[in-house]
Amino acid sequence: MYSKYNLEEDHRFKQCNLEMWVTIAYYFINVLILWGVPMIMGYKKPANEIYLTLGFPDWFFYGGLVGTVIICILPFIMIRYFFKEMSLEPYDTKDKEGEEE
Amino acid sequence: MKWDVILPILIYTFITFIVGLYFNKSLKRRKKSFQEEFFVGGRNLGPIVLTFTLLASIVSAGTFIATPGLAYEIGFSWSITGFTQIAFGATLLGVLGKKFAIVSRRIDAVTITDFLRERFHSPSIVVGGSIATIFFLGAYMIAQFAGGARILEAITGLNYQVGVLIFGVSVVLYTAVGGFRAVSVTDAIQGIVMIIGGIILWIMFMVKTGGFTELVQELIVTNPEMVTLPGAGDMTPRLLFSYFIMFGIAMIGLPHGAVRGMAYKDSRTLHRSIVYSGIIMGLFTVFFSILGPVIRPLYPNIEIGDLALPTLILGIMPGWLGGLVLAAPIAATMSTVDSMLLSTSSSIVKDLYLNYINPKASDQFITKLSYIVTLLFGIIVVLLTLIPQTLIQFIIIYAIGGLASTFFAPIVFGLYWKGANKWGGITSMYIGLFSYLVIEQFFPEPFGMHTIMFSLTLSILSMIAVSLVTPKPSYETINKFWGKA
Repeated sequence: MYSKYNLEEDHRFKQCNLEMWVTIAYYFINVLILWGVPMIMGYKKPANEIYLTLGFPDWFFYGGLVGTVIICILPFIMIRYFFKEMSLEPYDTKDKEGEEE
Repeated sequence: MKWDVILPILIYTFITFIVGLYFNKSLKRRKKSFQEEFFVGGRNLGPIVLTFTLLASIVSAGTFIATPGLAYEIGFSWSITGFTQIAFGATLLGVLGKKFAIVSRRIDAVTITDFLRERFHSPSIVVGGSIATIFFLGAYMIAQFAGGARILEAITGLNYQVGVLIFGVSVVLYTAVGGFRAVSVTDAIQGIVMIIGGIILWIMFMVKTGGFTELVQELIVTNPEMVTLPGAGDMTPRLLFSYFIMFGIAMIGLPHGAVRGMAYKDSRTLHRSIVYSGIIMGLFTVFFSILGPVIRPLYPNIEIGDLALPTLILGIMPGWLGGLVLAAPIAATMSTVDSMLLSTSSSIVKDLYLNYINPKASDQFITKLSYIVTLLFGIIVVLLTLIPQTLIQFIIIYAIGGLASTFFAPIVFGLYWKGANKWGGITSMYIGLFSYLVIEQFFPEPFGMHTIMFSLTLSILSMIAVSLVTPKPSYETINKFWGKA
């Protein structure tokens, strides 16, 4: 649709787009865990049916605390497998094919 | 007046102040232009400072005082709303990402409005964006100062006006004199103080009380609704979900947060900072918000929720140590205000003065003007804060929602969607802003969700729809933001 620009794109931006989508996915996983788990485990459950895990209501323990640990570990995986180091110079002089400016 | 509590806080403020002033030398010895040094620290931040300055600009006394306070009244269902912000730092850095860093280097952007101006070429975006920044961040700063001083008054007996003056003047001075680097490094110090404060608090809590198991069991007997979801308040799934949208991702639109996406050194810094952000935000959030509900069985009769955590702190440790821990919320306030002050003054100097009033101003003049505007705007805010404020929490949420609705769509779509054009940018910005103001005023919390859900959706939809039916952006613009050379 935007081919009319006939543009030679900076090759780094493809990787940037990927990283953006990975982060969006991370964000939604975070919502699913921190919002979903407590809601599934505890929503509208009366107090006398709530079990305590290590002193916390179980919905809070698994959704909130275990969930927090998970979303703190996920960025490691994200960076390790999806993110790539690149120059942040305005225009990358070392192109993929090794062309020189 | 409780001198044992207040003295550590004052000493701490003084040290921050001195450190901030010290960075005036890096402004003098700069290699890059004054603006780049003063407003984005020469784009040279490393991972630790980047992480702390980003999180500290966002985390305010709300995290340390208001969230535990509400959790004291409502229960664990409110603690969990605090958790909505844990992934925010990583999300902001990852979504804006390297693209934002590269593009801002291409166009020499040092403010969010710079970025929007180059992308959309529209004076109504520059003027609207600057005015929204100045207005909302100004109000936000007043609320922050007022909140900090009010808490300090309640805890130590330090007069409200005196508190505002001490903290206000020191923050304003080191920000005006030291610029972005002073703000970032003091943010890092303040962040470390928050973590140390949290650790001391937890150690003392575990030593002096029976621990969570015992306290929560007591809570089940006395206030059973506090361990349930939705709890004593009205935490419906829909409302909690909208908090995840607001505090988890929409806050990318906050100019004083987003500008940090322009300021780091290299891609390694970004990677490390994404990892650190989650962990450190997790520590801030969990340490404090989780204590709210269990203060209830210990001190059942606290009338104002905001005083719950300070009461606990002063109840379980000696005054001087309590003062050290209470430096954490004060640090949070200062580190939020300094970033906002710099964002507003950059809006005034860069976005309004340089663009519209005097584009030919000399570098020397801009240097002087930046110092003076930062100082003057800061002083005005401090003076306004001296008039006692009510509605503090209301102002904060209002300002966050307003800024997020205004800036989120133009920034993110402008950065990643070639089709986003001038008219899309203008409509999404103004529709975001005005729909937020109107809905918040006349139909607050429609369908049990926070107003921002609607203003943000409208803003995004109008960005897409209007961009599709109006002419595409020019080749020059697209080449500047996507092209190879």
